[in-house]
Amino acid sequence: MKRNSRPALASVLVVGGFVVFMLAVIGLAINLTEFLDAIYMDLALTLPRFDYSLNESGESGNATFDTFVQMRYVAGGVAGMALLWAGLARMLEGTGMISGGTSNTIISRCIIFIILFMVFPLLWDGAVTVVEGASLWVLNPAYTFNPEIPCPAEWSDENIIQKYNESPYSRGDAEQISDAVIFCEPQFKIRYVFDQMMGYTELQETKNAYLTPDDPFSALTMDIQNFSESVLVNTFLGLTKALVTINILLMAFVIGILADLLVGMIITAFPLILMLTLIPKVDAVANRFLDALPILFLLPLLSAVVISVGAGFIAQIGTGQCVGDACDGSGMMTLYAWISSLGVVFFAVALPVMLVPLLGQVTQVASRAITGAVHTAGVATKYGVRSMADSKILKLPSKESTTLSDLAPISDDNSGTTKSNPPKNNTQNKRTQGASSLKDIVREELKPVDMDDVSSSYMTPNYTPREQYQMMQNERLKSHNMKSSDVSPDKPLDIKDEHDHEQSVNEKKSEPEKDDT
Amino acid sequence: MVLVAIDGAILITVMVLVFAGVVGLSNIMVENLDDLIIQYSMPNFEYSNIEQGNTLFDVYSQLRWIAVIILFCGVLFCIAGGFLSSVYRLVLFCVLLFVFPPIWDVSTQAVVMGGLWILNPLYTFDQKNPCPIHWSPDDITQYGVQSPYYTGGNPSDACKPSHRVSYVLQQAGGLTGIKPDGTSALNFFNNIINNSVDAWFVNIFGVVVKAVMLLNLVLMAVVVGVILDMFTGVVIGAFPIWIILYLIPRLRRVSILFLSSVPSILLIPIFSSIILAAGSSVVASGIYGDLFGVWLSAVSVLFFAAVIPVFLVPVIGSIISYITSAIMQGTTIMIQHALKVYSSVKSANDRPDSA
Repeated sequence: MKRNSRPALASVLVVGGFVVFMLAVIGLAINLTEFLDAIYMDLALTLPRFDYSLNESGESGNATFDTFVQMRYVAGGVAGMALLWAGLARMLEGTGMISGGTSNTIISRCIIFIILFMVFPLLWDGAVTVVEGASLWVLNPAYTFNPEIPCPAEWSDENIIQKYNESPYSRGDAEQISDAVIFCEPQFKIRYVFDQMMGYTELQETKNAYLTPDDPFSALTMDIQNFSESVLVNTFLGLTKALVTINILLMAFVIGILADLLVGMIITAFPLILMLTLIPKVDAVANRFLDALPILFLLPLLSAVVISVGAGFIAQIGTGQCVGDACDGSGMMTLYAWISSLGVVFFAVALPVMLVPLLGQVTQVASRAITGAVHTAGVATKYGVRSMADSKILKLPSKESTTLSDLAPISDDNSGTTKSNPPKNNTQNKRTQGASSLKDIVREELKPVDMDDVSSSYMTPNYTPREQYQMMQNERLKSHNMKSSDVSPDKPLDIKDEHDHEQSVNEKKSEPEKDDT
Repeated sequence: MVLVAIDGAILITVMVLVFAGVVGLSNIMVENLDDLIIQYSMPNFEYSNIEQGNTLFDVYSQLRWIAVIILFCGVLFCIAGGFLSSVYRLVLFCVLLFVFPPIWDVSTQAVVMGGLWILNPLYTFDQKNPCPIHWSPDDITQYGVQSPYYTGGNPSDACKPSHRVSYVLQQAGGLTGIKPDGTSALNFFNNIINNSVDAWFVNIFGVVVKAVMLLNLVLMAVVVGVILDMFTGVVIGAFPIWIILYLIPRLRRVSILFLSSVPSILLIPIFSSIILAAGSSVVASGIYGDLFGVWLSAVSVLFFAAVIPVFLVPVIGSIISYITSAIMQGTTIMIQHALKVYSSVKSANDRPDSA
């Protein structure tokens, strides 16, 4: 059948099936966004630490610290061996086999390192507190570092509300102090960026939004109503956005955790890495880790700068100040804001990949696995929807039965007399005497005549491609001369539907049992 | 529209059965992943005092004789040519060729045991009685059950090195839903009607993503492990060759490429153990939420632990990145074909032949 002869109903059905697929993808994107929103502060703006404390009972800390202590024992052993070697070297220096001063270097470095091992947890915790505090201040200078009372004490409530309403990052006008107090919290700009990411969805104006987290299903129904207007544009856009969002957010999360784990690994193995720098050929490996540490240490600060700058950039777009050619229409503007916010969120977390070459390879492998998985899931879900459209529910109408009103008489006299039907449905109707609902008739009637579908329906060892082609030709012939023949048509195609239906019903029944076992 | 959506839901449920197969496959593979990720052994010579070992040692001794003969010729040449200062180095290399196998065996054993010790300081290096000898069975039970990484099973597993790793694997392989009301992927069938429909779709898509990612992860761990073992075998088995190449000025760079990775190879068990120890505490602390966050952080930890050789031995990085991309494609195509086989089997069953 020619593509242009497909009636609108079929398109709606296909789009409906497509929307089912979209629900899965978009729902996941929404959930991921909410999820990342909740943990974003932990991911981008904190570093692993030891929770070190020293009291009468000795040193104590978290699990990282316990492993650190283990590594300190190992490093102590290495230091002992190094000192032994230093003694030997001092003897050999007298004989002239080793250049003078070697032993002194080793001994002095060993002593410095051993002192460093003892104070390192304390130093690290202090430094991390400073960096994290600085990054919070960069994010929001108004923050008082008191989660209970984030705003400065001298500000009155009206003052705060006024400042909030004037801020470019506010979401609507606040009436109460409880809404406006976020103005002083460090999450203020992060929340704004995430709002931009979740909010703007449409390229064309429609009466609904895809990313309505509370009720996607009613949104779906409205989409069908608005079909003729803009659903195709927005469907395409929504799907693209959802897949991009899933990929990027998953990667952001994995990169964030990888960077955290890398910092954790380096600070835990710090004693061992320091001792390795004493061994001539091995120090290259150790130095790679030591070189990465200062940059990793500054990450929260850099991420905060990226978010602050990025939020300002997005707010500029939102308030209508044009950036480049993005002023052409409101649709493009919102799309632009969405991409920018996604970029900011990703960039702030993925900074370590840019700054620490060590992470590059690992991230490459991990990101390939993630995007591959999302791609496969997309293809698989699409496949499910397509097979649904092909073989079961979403049959495309044939030329003769284009609308539901044409089908109505069939539902009336489906008990045996089928003269008015296309001949290919004779056996079908005899077989499905019980199936009298309109839906079943529609399902049998709306037969795909696509090349793909017909060939896949005939796909058994019993039919050669030639025979399949013959049957397909017969099929077409019959559909053209609908009243001319009562020849029994090809069984497989017709029976398939009925069996499919029965099977799916059976499977539906049997599934709870499978699960119980 | 509603009818269509519900029928679609039924069909997707059938699809989930296929993916339950994939998930089951990845679960089985994940259960054995701890053997791949924890390095219980490294390639070595199994050298004994009477100059005997495994097949790797046979290769080594074969190459060693060539190297010794070349070195001997070099010594003669140097003596004849009057380069006496070089003789010192050549003799040193000769000695090194004979003491290298036992040195390598001892050092690999040391780093492997060190790695296991980092993973679990309680481990006594005795598989049957992993816990310290002076602990009574009650002590063991109490300690095992109270451990934050307890995953059920024998409490004395808490003293094994795989204790924390099994916890992370359980979090990664678990069928937790993405949205809280979805609870578990396979529970869908019980409460299809009760669940809100969007949670249901989200969880299905999520299950597919999770299953594929786990499959990729496991296959990648296998590939990285195998390639690392092969590379280590090449470095240590052909060690005499690299020594000879080191002496030839133009070829020195090639030999340094291999020899410089020796310290990195020896550090891998230590670093991967640190990653797993630190990562398991991150997962158990639950700072990344409860359902999806725990899963994703567990997977990230496993990813990092699996690719740590790439991290430390950059030489094998490019090989691995080629092979992993091949594997990812393989998984994708495998699943697509599994679906096609599934549908063709289904349509074959639908034939009226039996009727």
